[in-house]
Amino acid sequence: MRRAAAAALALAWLAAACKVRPAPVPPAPVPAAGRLALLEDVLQAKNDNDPRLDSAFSALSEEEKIQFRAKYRAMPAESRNERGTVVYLLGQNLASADDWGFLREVAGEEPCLSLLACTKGGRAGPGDEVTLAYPALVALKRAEAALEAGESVAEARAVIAAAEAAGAPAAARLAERLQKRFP
Amino acid sequence: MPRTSIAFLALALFAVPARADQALDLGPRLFDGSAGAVASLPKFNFTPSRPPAQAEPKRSKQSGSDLFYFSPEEAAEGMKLFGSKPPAPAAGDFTFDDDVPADIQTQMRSDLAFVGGVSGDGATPLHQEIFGELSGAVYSAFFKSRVTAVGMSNCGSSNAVACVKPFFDPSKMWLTQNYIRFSHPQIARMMVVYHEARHTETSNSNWYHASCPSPFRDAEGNEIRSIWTGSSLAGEPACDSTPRGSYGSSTIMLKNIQLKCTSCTAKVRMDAGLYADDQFGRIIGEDARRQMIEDFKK
Ligand SMILES: [Zn+2]
Repeated sequence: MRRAAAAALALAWLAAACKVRPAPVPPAPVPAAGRLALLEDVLQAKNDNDPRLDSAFSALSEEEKIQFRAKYRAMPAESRNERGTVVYLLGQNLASADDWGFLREVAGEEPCLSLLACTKGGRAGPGDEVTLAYPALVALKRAEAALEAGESVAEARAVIAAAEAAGAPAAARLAERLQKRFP
Repeated sequence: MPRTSIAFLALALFAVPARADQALDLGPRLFDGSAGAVASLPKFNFTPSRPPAQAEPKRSKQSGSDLFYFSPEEAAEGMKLFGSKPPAPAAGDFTFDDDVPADIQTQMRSDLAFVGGVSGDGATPLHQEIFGELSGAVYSAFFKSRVTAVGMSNCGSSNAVACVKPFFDPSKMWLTQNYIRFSHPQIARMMVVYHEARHTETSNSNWYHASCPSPFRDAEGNEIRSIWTGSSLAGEPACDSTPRGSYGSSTIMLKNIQLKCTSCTAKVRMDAGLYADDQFGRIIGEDARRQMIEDFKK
């Protein structure tokens, strides 16, 4: 009886210890096409709280990043949330000059003027400024995180400068605030 | 000093002309003259008597600078018609009118399920006061205790996504086709829905909006313009002078999701911060702003 209780206690401790410090499980290698397909699946689900956004896109390979950038450019400009999601995922995988170059490209895009058609509509076209500038805002938030960490400072500043120059109102405002915060 | 035609603003995210068949803020139409043959009637002279003074209350004229709004007088009219009732405990689920398209119903259910599934590590004092804990169950109860029905309207603006018309039915939320028309982060739709849910509170004069100051500038000295139309907001009824109004409460909700949600993806938290920071610009008055800034540190 006493032995059984001790065993149960040991098991409970073991379970607690495991909960506190789970054994690291190396991510299973995913074929490049698999992660692109996974991205398509996540975008299709239209659920911003899909846990795969946090867990399934770490350590993207160079080939995968190229595929993701191509996916971004192939999407309609009006797909603001989908485009921003791709920028978000690539922003979690910054390693090379090309990676930062892509964020700079996004931040420097011509402002989207209308959610009906980004290149048309004039200022009074449909859409709020945050959604209209969403991909650039995501790029800026990644640059902000880099500056907060004191990493890739020159690259992050270039992203901010690109957003300020492009002039999408919400992105330009955030860029201005970041310029002041990180002079 | 806010001017008397202080207003309520229907938030929007995207915009296209909404249903042309929806009456504009005047409640249901009695007759639209669009169907059937015209009957031939004998001709005679008829001078209609003047309607009673309050038969057709004058509705707020929309300036076009921002979005749909209603005046304090219209909020008072709602209180007179429906009483100053506090939000009731959620008795059941809200209903959709028959003309709410299935895809809009599905999207709204999905969005509410998303918010209904969040959980957090604590909540700021203002969040505690307005909502309670950061919990999906709390957010669901907040919505269902205020909104009993959802219908379709154009909400007075081609930019509008949703609105509440307290003088017509303070417990009903109206959506426009814009609710699903465009691509934007999920949290943005919830910001609109919870902003509007706050406008159902007749016991709080529906939290009608205050006039923005003139000039209206941000901390960098730039003029604050409507994110929907680009027009100047100086003097427009598109601000809140309290943290507890529709702008303040939705900002507080989003800021708590940004800072304290433990079940949210990093993207949802980032999005919540982006939209909350933007909404915060509509809070006027140093006390209100300072109170919120301090609240977000707790
Ligand atoms: Zn409002």
